[in-house]
Formats: sequence, structure tokens, C-alpha cells
Amino acid sequence: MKKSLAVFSLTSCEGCQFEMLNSYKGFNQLLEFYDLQNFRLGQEINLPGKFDVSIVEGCPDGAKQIKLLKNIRANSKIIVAIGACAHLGGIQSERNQIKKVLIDKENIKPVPDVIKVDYIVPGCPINHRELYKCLMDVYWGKIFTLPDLAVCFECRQNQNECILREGKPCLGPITRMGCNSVCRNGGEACLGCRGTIPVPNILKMKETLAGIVSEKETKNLLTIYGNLEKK
Amino acid sequence: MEAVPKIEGHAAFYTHLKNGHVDEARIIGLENDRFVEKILVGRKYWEAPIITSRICGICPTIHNVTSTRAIEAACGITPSIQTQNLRKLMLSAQMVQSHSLHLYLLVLPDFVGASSSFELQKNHPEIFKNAIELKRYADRIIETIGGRAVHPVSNVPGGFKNLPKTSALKELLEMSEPIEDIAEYTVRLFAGLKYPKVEREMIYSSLFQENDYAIYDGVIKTTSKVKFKAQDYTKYIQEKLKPYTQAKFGSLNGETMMVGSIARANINKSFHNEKVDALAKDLGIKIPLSNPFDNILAQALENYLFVLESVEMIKKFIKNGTEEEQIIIPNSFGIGTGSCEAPRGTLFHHYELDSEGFITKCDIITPTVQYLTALEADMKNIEPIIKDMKPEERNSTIEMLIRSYDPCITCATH
Repeated sequence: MKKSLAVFSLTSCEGCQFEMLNSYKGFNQLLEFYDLQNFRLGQEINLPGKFDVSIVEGCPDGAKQIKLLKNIRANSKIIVAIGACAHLGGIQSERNQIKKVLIDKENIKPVPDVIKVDYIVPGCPINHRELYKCLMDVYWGKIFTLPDLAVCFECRQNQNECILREGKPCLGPITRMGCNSVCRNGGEACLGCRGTIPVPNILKMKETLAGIVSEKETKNLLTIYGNLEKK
Repeated sequence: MEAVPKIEGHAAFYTHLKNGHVDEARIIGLENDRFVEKILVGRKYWEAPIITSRICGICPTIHNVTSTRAIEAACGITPSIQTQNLRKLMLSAQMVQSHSLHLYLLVLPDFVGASSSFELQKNHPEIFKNAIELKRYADRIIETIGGRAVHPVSNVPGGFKNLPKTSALKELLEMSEPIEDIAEYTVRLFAGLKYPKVEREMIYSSLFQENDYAIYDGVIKTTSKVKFKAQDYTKYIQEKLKPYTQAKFGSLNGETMMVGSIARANINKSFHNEKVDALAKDLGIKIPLSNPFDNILAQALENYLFVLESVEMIKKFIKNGTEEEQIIIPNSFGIGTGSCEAPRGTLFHHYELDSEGFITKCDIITPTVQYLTALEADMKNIEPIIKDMKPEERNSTIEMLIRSYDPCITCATH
């Protein structure tokens, strides 16, 4: 029996939906288990629910989207929040750090601050394989789990040089792995888009960064995709 | 207010018919402003390409590259020829990525009576396969050069943090063999569709360079004989807010203008490529194009052009190899503007930096913003076609028009 699936998009760049379609073959295999009943980006006929599983991309910004999100919760058995916007607030949550005179809007809240979320697939963008795995686990009634180790673990496996040791900022030590250290493989630093490991040593991270960049830059680094210091 | 399905981002439309006349037409962005320009203030210069690529999930590469160019202009950096060529390859792939998705998944279902790409896949698997092949090819190029298909990581101000391996480039070349034929077939497929006929006058605007189909560099040229450099954009392009939407509406000093594939084709007058020009001639496609629906044809032709160009560039990189280069570190900070051709038209990024390299001002003008005014005008120009239609048919024709523009509402409300 197929389970019903919906894909909803709140405030975001919609990149996670495109990443979801990155492997069309993989996505098609998913559709042997799921009946895609609501997906505005890809189809015209969209049902109102109820759904077995709803994927939510983006963060709820404003009363309308918060209402929509609560409505999605009420109409879904399982909710999978995908991407840094849903998980942490995303790049737009930087406005929470900015004086209200500059941007006179309410703070951005990530999805788990508004509704109960069953599973999170993190990242900016997500890794499509991780999402497919999550949906298959959900289909078979298994509990989907994220790896608890830091990006450094994968980074070493990929034999990248440690840029922190070279005196350049990197958030690998506090960031949850599962991305296969994709940014480091491409030469860039880890900037924490997947959120932190369960017990991140933020103090030590800040101490390390203090020897490399200014306090202001450290704060900037820790808030690119959402405030990583937030408990 | 229902969002139009199968476009990038959420937007609704409203048209009012009075005695058979469309007396009001509005396009209403339903996305929330994310204040990207304001959240960048106070951040270091290198964060701009990373954060602005998050403006859009379908065209992150063009934001990444345009932002990088603007930051380089502000820092007085001239990137190496190799860096420029790698970026041009990424931009070619970005065009194919965006155009192929739009053409097959969003536009084509309208013309073959399918409500979605999934239905198209079920009923016309042989056609649908082309979309997947094209997109996979483009995705792999951006992955190889940029490190990731969505939100690439390797391109930064001053150069590339990682260079593609020759073995990976050879894999791309192998992959490209059937792609050329698919891209040619795509042009024939879309040239064979029947489009609603709308004729109207319009000003077109795009990057321009002699003897090149410019997407990375050049001056901005319009069919109204205006020519300007990227850094002077504020003197020519204005943005206006409207009470009913958070998306801004752009104009060329108050005049309605169109950017994107159709504009590039009209400004360049030819595709500067024998194969593409010959195919267009063969299919009886005459440039300048004047029907707003011709944007679809122009996209299909560009898709073919950029597949061919990407193959040439990959061949060159394999033949000449890539050389390890140091990233150029800025030693002064100032003001800089960059403009490149995004799949949907000319994109402007402008930054002002303080003496330590922190961003003090940022301004981004997206293509969708520049043509939203034209889209509203065309929703009125379409009147002779829709006035005798039943409401449902009328709505779907207007939706087709909106889709032919390929608006990106997430970009428009950054």
C-alpha cells in the first residue's frame, strides 16, 4: 500500500525541493512507495489532505504561514522538516540579530518552534540521499536517525586538510555530519548549515575562532543559517 | 488567493474584465521578503556569494557568480582567465539546468494536456527522459566545477578553491555525447508546438559584447538604443513598490522592458553559433522575436547553444589542463557592481565595503523584478485571445503566459 505524501514550501529559496529531484531515478523509486498528493512546484492537481507524510521546506514567516503550518500539522500523521530554513531558520533568521529599526518584522522561528516535528533532514541544501533514506525509514515504520558525529569525522575520511590548523575559520568540530563534508571537499569551510551535534562545545569553538577572527566575525559565523548557540 | 502552480515561488494573478476589456491585471507575489540585502550588512565580503546564492534554489549559481564578480570589482581584483572560463562553464550549465527544467517540467505539460511532469512522464516517457538527461548533465557540470549542484561552494572572490579533476571532466565529455542530440531535438519539439499569437511592441535589454553571446561580461544594451555599464545601473533601472505585493516592479527609466532569453536573442540578433543559427533558420524562427510566448522558443535555442558551448569548454579544459592558482586576496575595499545574464535575464549585484571588508550596503536587482511590469502589461495585451474564452480556459491561458515568462518569485522577493 502506498502512503500519501505532500511537499509544502514556506519562506525559503526552494533549493531543497530541487535537491529532492537531484536524482530523478531515486525520486521515482520513492514514488513506488508514496503517492504524491500535493506538490505545487511540480503539479496542478493538489489535494488538501489528510496525508500520511508531509515534507515541509522553509520557515514560517508571518501569521499566514504559521496558520498554514499548523494546518499542515493537523492534516499530517508524520512531518519531515527539510533544510536549514525549516530546521534552524535559515539565512533570513539573521534578521533576529539585527536591530528592529532596520527590519521591523517579527523574529524568524524555525519549524520545530511552532509545531511538533517528527523528523528533521538538515542542511543548506539537504542531501537528497538522506531525505530518501528518511522517507523509506518512515514508510517501513522505522525510526530515522541522524548521525551524531561532527563533520570533522567525514572530512578526515575524505582526506581533506584541516583548515582550522591552517589558521582559517571552520565550524566542522561542532556541526553534525551527514553531508560527506561536501563544502570542505570543494575547498570551502564548514559553515554549520546542518546545525550542531548533540553536545557541541561552543565555548571551545569560540575560543579557537578567537585566535583567527574578530569577535564580530565569530558571531557572524555562528549565525549564517540560524543561531547555533541557541539551545 | 491561489498560487499559480508550476512556477518558481508563490505568485497569484488577478485580472479584471469589463465589457470584454482587461482593465486591470496584477501579478501578486505571495512570498515574504527575506531582507537578504539588509542581513548582509555587517558581514564580511566573502560571505556575500554564499548567502546570496540562497536567494534562489533554481538559479543559485548565477547569484554566486554575479555576487563574486561584484565583490571582486569592489576589491579591485581581476580574476585569472582560467577562473573566468570556469565560471563561464558554470553559467552555461546553469542555463541548461534552468531552461531544461522550465521547458519540460513546467511548460510542456500545458501543451500536451498533462497536469504535471509526473503525468507527462507516465504518458510520454520518451519525451520526459530528455529533461532528465539534460538536467543531469548540467547538474554534473556544476558539481564538478562548483562542488555541489544546488548552492555550489568552490567559486569565491579571487578564484576557485578547488579545481576539477581531468578524469571528472572526461566523464562529463562522455556524458555530453547524446546530450547534443537531445538539445537539438528539444528545439524541434518546442518549435513544433502551437503558441497563442500576441503581437506587441516591447523594449528588450541584455548584456552585450561584440561577436559573443554575452552572459558573463559586457555592457547592458537595449532595443531602445540605451547602452550602459553595470556600475551605472541605478541611473537606468528603477524599482517601484506596489501596494498589493512584496515583489518590486522594475523599469528602464519608467519604460516597460523585457529581459531573459527572448531579450538576449533579440539584442544579439544571432546566437553566434553556426549550428544553432542554422537550426533556427531551418525551423523558420525569425529574429527579432515579438510574441511573449516566443520566450519559450528562445529558451530552447539557448539550451542548445549552451550545451554546445559547454562541450567546447570542457574539451578545452581537458586539452589544456587546469593549473593550480592562488586565490587572489583583496588588499583594498571599496564599491563594486557586477552583472551577468541569469537564465531569466540580467542580474545586478552591488556592494559597498568598509576599510576592513565588512559590507555596508548591498543592492540586488533580479531579472524577474525587471520584467514584472511587462508581464502585467502582457496580461492585458492577451485580451483579444482570451475575451471570448470560458473562465477556466481563460485562467489557464493566462497561467501559460505567466509560465512562458518563467518568473522566479523567490528571486523577486529576496
